[in-house]
Amino acid sequence: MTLAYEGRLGLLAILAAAGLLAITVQLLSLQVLEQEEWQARADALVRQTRPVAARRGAILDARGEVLAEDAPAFDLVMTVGGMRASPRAPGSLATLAGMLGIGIEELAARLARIEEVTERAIARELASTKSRRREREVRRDHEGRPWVLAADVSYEVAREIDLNAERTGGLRIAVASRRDYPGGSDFVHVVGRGDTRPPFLLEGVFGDALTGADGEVVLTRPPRRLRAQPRVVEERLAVRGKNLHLTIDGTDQAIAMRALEGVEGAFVLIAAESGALLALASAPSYDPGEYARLLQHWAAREDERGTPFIDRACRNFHTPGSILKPFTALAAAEAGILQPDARTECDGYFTIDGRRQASHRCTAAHGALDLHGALTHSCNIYFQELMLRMDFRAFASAGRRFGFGESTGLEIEWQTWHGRFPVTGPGARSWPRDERVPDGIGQGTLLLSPAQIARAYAGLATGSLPRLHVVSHVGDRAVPVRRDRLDVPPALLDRIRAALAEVVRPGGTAQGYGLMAWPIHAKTGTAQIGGGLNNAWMAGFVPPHGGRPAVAFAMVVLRTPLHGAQECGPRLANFFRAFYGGSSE
Amino acid sequence: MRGGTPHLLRAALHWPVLLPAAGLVLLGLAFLKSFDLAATQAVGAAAGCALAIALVLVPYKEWVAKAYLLYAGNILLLVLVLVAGRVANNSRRWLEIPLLGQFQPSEFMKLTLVLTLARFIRFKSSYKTFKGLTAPFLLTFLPMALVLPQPDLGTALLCIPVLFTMLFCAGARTRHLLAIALLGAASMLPVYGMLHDYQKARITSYFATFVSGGGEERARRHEREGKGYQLHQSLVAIGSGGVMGVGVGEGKAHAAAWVPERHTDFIFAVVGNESGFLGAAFVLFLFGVLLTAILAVAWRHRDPAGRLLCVGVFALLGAQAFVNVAMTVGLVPITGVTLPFLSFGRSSLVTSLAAIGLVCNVAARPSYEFGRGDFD
Repeated sequence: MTLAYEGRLGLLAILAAAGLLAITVQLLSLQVLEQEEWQARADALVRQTRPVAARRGAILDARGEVLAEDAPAFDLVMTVGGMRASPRAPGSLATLAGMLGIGIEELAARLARIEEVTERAIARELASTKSRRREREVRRDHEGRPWVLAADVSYEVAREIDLNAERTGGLRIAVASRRDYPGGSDFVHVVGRGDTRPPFLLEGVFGDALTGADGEVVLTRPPRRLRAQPRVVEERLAVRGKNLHLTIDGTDQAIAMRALEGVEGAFVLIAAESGALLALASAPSYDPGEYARLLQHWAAREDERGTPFIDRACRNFHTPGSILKPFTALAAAEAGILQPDARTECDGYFTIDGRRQASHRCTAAHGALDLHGALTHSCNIYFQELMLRMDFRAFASAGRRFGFGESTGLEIEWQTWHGRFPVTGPGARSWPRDERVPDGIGQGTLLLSPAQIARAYAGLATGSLPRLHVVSHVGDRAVPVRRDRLDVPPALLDRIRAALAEVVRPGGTAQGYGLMAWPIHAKTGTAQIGGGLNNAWMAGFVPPHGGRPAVAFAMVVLRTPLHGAQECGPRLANFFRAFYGGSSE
Repeated sequence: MRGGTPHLLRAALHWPVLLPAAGLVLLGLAFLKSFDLAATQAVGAAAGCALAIALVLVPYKEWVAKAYLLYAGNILLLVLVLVAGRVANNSRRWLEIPLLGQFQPSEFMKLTLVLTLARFIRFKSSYKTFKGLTAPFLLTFLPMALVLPQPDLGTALLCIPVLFTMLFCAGARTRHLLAIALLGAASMLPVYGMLHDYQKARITSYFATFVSGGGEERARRHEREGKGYQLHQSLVAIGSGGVMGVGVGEGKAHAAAWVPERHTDFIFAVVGNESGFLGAAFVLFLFGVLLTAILAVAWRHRDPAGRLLCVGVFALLGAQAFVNVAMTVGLVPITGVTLPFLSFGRSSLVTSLAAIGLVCNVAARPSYEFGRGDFD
């Protein structure tokens, strides 16, 4: 059949209509049915997201003084593309090295390293393609990425670079954020650092609250060839991290640190009722700004003694010595063998089955002593006799009740091991027998932290055991205070307190150091650690005085040839003089 | 002619053809405004209008009578392009004329070919035999052979639908045309081997993306390797335009800005992105109206040359528009042809407007001549 001219035109019209219909159907499919999918691809293509870093919350002491905060810093930034596009003038490398305070070889090595890493990344991405277009894109992308050539340069260097931006070979200054620690070495064992990976101590424990939420700005991404300025499409504001308010007063902390000047040791001061940390000193300490340098130095040494990184106050444990004796007495009462008024004869030697134990000597021949006298003179024989007769489970139970071997609750105490102290119940039986008697006077293998000791003495002071804390508020939210009532006979507590009050008076082990000026109830302790060295202790509490609430404290000076009172007495006197501002009984 | 030039011009105002054409030109200017090219394109539109008016003033039969001369002149220009053409984007397609700027002879060749074929076919019946088809095919292949090495595959391939449509409407036997089409398709395999790498890549990326199994993964690979890049960016621009589009003139901030050759071959991606489905469909509607109007002129006219001119212009604009839009939406492989009236490019716009001028010329001059046979 032959079609007429009109028929052929009609066929053409049908073909054209079919073509237009096919295109319309395809358009419907793309723009209506699959629109979301293509929109997502378009967003990825035409939008760029620039993060807006949230300012980290500050850490403030009890008076609102800043201990840690974000501060602006100037980073010297370069791009490989910029560096290649504007070759530096001869000699400028040396000038730049001089400005940055580094050697020219080091600077050249840094630049070479950045170039090498960039080229490697480009090669890796182009391994599976030979497309010229793709190569151009990848190269442009990698060569345009900013590298920090030097972080936190001085304002003078930043200004110099900025003023000479056109002649500095692709270098520019980026304003970044730096964590400043005005609290310095006094607070480093509490605050920690937020710019390490991972952050540690309060900076790490409260990382989520401090960090806040980063914001972002979504901008259009016009192709470079169009020379159009990016436009803001969407903006989400950054939410600043919450501030942490501490219970520690910066002034008290400073005098606590001063009290440990020149020795290795720790000092913990807490509010006896609430458990709020008032001072936590660990010596030696370090300047947070020196962290990286010191870390390298100490990493090279095998012996950790003397390292400033160890927190000796709440995450390091020491043989407690005689400061444990009040708790041995309480354990004996629990075991039903303590008669506070009954006297025990001390001839300077501990006797088992009529035989003197040469290795268990007392500090002196004290004669007949009751509980009061035994605590005041710190008689080893009295407490060793108690241990000999006592069910060891009672010792374990009483100690655990006062928090020995347990977490103190301090937020910065993130370790899972809390010292060495027998567990309660049948497990206590596995404790070595030959260690039990020396453990009663703190000379065995027990290991406790100053924070645990201070908390236990707060228990003696108030009759309840507080949960320690160093953060009073996270943002506006107050941290709840928790205390556990101790089931101890009040009369016995009173007798122990009375004995502890005598320790700093004439005839007591800490007499003569001027501690009588304040109503201090304390106990001295000297744990011999061999080599003629001791861990010198003094722990106790002070009832409300001079407008201050009741406080409990524990001080230890490690590896000292002196005894507890000799080493800690003068230091504590200096501390309390500054702490109470000269007020005395 | 009675009434002189003003009357002639009034008669040439064939609104069913002019209105959609003018609408498309104006839309083209609006979409090119996003990329600051509207002013340059407007100059091309003015030149195109001037040429269309010039074409209208001279009876189309005289243009048909001079077709061989124009054809020979255009062939010479194409040879000149190969010898002394300006090279841009790895193609040698343009001739520089001092003071006037550059132009693309291959664009004008398309219209010249329509005139030449109309001249050749109008009073003949030889094309009804297989052997008689040789001459029109040779007339078509000669300019194609000169355009292909530029290289400009898209323009060269456009000559084929023009030839087939004109022959078909003139009354050539359908079985002959189908046989030749099948033969041509079979010969594509060796021709594929002669294509440039980028031309092969366009075809393989098309098949990889939309036709072959496991297309998604392969499409991603091609996307990574940059082979289907143009098509992918075009689809992203059109798809993300949705129903309403992102707003005319807003393309710079959206996916349209990332489409390569967005102002020329891929202008329809900009249309789809900025004006959405509604805008894109409206453009298609205008093309539909325009093509129908041209066919209507061809339908009404009695003069074989006038008919053939209209059919030739219909095939030229229709095929060019279909191939361009279809490649932009991923229905056919990318061939690199512009979208008539909308794409940036003065030569293309001037040629399209001149073609409209020819149709108006035919519409303005009713003929009472009678042809023979099928073409009566």
